[in-house]
Amino acid sequence: MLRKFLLVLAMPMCAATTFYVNIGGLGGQEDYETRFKNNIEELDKLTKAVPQAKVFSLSGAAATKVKLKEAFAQIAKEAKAEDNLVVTMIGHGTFDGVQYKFNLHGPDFSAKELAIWLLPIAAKRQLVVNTTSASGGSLADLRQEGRTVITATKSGTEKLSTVFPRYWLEALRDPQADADKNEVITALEAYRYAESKTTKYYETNKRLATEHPMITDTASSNGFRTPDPTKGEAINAMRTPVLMFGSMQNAAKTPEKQAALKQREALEQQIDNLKLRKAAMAADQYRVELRNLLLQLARVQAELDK
Amino acid sequence: MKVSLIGLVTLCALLAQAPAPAPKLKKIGNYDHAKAPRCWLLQRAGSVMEATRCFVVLMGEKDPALKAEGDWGTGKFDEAMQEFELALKVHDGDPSVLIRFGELFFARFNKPEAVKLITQAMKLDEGNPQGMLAMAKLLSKGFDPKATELAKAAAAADPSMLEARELLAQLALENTEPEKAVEEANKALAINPKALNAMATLGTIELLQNKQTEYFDKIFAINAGYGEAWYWAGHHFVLNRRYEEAIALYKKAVALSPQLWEAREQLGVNLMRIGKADDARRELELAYGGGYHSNEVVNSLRLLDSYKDFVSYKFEGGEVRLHKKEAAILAPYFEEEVRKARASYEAKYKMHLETNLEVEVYPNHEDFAVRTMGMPGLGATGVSFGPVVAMDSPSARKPGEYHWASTLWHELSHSYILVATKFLTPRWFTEGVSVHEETMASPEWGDPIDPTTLMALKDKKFLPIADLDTGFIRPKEPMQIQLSYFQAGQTIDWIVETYGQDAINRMVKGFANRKTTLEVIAEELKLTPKEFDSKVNAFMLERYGKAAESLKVMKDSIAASNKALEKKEFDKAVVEGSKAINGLPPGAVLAYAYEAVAKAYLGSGMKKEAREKLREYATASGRNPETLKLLAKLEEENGDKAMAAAALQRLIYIAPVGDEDLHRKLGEYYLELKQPQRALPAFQAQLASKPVDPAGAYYNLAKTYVALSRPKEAQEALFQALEMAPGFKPAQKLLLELENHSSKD
Repeated sequence: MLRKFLLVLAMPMCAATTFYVNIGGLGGQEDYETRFKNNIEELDKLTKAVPQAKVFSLSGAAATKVKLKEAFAQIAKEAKAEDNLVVTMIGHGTFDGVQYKFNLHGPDFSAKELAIWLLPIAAKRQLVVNTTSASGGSLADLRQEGRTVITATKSGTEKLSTVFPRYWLEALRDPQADADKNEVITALEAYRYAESKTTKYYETNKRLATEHPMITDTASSNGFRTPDPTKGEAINAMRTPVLMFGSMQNAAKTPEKQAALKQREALEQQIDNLKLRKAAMAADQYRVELRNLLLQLARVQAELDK
Repeated sequence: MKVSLIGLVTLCALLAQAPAPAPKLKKIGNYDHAKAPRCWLLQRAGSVMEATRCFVVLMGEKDPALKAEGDWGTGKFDEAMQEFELALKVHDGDPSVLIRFGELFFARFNKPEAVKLITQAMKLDEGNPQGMLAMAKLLSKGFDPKATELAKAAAAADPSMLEARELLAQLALENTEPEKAVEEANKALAINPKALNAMATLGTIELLQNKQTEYFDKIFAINAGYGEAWYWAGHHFVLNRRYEEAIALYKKAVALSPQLWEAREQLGVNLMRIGKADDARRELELAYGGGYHSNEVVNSLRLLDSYKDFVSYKFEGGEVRLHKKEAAILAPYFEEEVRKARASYEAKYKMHLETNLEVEVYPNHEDFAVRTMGMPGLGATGVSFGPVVAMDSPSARKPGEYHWASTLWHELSHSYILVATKFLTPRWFTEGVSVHEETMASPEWGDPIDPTTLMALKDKKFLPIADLDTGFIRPKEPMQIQLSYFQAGQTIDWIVETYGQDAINRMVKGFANRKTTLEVIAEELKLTPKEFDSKVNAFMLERYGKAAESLKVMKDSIAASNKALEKKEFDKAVVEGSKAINGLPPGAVLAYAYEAVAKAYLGSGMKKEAREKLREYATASGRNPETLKLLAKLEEENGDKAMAAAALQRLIYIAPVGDEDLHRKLGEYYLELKQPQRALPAFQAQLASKPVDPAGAYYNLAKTYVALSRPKEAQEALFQALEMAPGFKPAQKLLLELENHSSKD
């Protein structure tokens, strides 16, 4: 099912620009300053490697409310509907019971303000990853149709420092996060990876979990901890790319392989359709048909890789 | 309920003799303290109708203290509580009311409230023999050594107090001091020749020695329905780990006294211990249905309910029961260790166990505790009930603080020693052999040396061999159990090093022939107890004496090294940390000293030196998962995948649950090292760890099956991988290879 949506995405995604806004907040203590700085540096490195990426990185003293507002205004001028926007917030957040704020040098910005900055941006696939403490408090203000919002905590009351950003970054550099191996890490794949690792972190260390990540991708959903796309949950997040890597990038850059790519996409479509019919088929028949399609696909891929 | 039972025994004995000694209780106001005991005596003599009439009369009394006894006697426990509350107001300052109220709380499973009330009574009347006895009974339930002191004080304060002598006999036998138990029981019989509980103790001593006994016939000649006698015998058989026989005794107890709920409770708990869950449930439900809602009964029934979440893996010679959520991860590793341990012990002890070794593994420590004791709060990590072993899962503990394989081998060693000695082994011997076996399985297993043990060595805190069992059963200090394990393990190490394994096997036979520790030492090692203690002590000092003397230097150096590390003064950290290592035998160094020095070397960019120190850390039983992963990383960077795998393999025994990366990495190393048979359980465990990349996990499995020449399983795993991720290129490539291969065939 996932493949189907990615195929729909594949072509526009190849031509689209992805705008990354990497925001590193105020640490307050040396440990946190260093950690946030390192995280943003790593995020910059990962996102700058993506083809057709435009990265706005604002952290430390450079990350002020004014500069952030300017950056989003700039993106609003440049971004087209087919483009992608990925905003990642790493730092400390606070929630006073009503309003979520991200801690910056100088005045903080609120979730509501960020939502206003994002409004004029035309990119239809938007992702906001808020990895801070109390980030769950930003979810209600940021959610919007077509925008995936990921938070490290389920509410604004989970106020302790989070481990989620560590695993979010790990998701972006670990090929294992690409669960369907199509060389695109989607918002849902990265979320699942980071959520799973965060949960295991607390379980393994016998610590009471003080953060419960959430994901939402509609204007009305309160978010899911472990979304199930077969129930219609986090469907947009499945379509929202965070990173592309490997030969998918090369393929996108090589026009002469487009024919083989199309053949591959057709086979992938057939496989998806077959999988959708699985429950209604005899098990043996399903296996035979799937095996044939997988073999054909493997052969086409072998041609593509030559 | 043990307290009340001691009371029952004594009062029954009092009834059986004539004339009964008058209770030395004070009279306050209109409160006749003798009225209630008369009813209890009737009840305990089996005169149910008369006893009920007596209690009903008490219920009609004006005095709430007597009404409470009437309610209690007729099973109206809530009403009895209310009446005692009132009695406390009416008889303000009467310790006997507080004591009886406390005893009611204890009988109704509320130990904290019982302690509170009896303590209050003792404050009012410090020398009150009934109060001391009540507290002694209460404390004896938790094997508190103060129980003996209090019982002695009660007996001294009131030399005619039969119950105190009987309790002292029980406690002495619990403490594996049968001679003392006989002495106390005989004192009780001197007070009353028909003291049934004293006779039960004497009879139990003979049964424990596998001798014929006439004491139980004598008891039943006096009181044919005295099931408590078998109950107490069962209790001592449990303490001697003779569970099957204990169960038979408890069955006799409930056959004589079907409403002796304490016996049903223990019958159920012990049936659970030997793995008979269905039979256990039946007995526990009977006890619960009889209104006996003790913590043991309730907890055990709850645990039995949770058994549906466990799955069983059977194999030749063994069976492992694991919780569903981690079974697929742990099963291959547990099976491997059970098989290895079985083969090792059968060769070493020259014996064959006819039954399967059964191992139950609990991810929730409190479930393990309930499984073992019927109660939470157990400090141990594993328990052997003969061929059945229950233990903590590695997931029950924080990563790094528990070595499950070490515990498994320890407990399985008990399984052999208990059977080989016909369950007649002294505690120190079986524990010592088990501790010894931990490090025989691998020198890195077992408990690493720690400052408490070194300090104890310096302060000469170890017990003479003649008293070592008390260190396990009635420790006088909080750390004495831990020290006794260490001492027992060292003792067996010394015997094996000095006399060889055959000496251990001969000692096993000696114990099986009912010889005492001192007899076995004299016969098999030709040593007096004093010589034995002296030689073992010298052996421990040779191993750890220098470290014990240097303990302060070691601790200070490690602290200084860590402080320097914080300041990034790496050279200083190396120098300081090295002071805690150099000049000491490797096994005597505190593992975290190596950790500190390795970190300092890393800080200076000296990876080779860091790697060397981390190897020493691992050898010294260092178990911090992150540190061992760091060692694996350094080994890999050095191009030594075999050493990297060895570093990670250690973590399989420490923290294998919830760490899919560990299994994946280990599987990858083994595949590269062309050891697919070792890669297979690793990748199976990865798949069972709910991996973030299930397609990748299936692909790894497929590669392993290919390497193992198991093409059908390889194709199935590959099919799973590609169904999830049809565009997974390495899997596609392998699919084509397999296809080409099969078409050639």
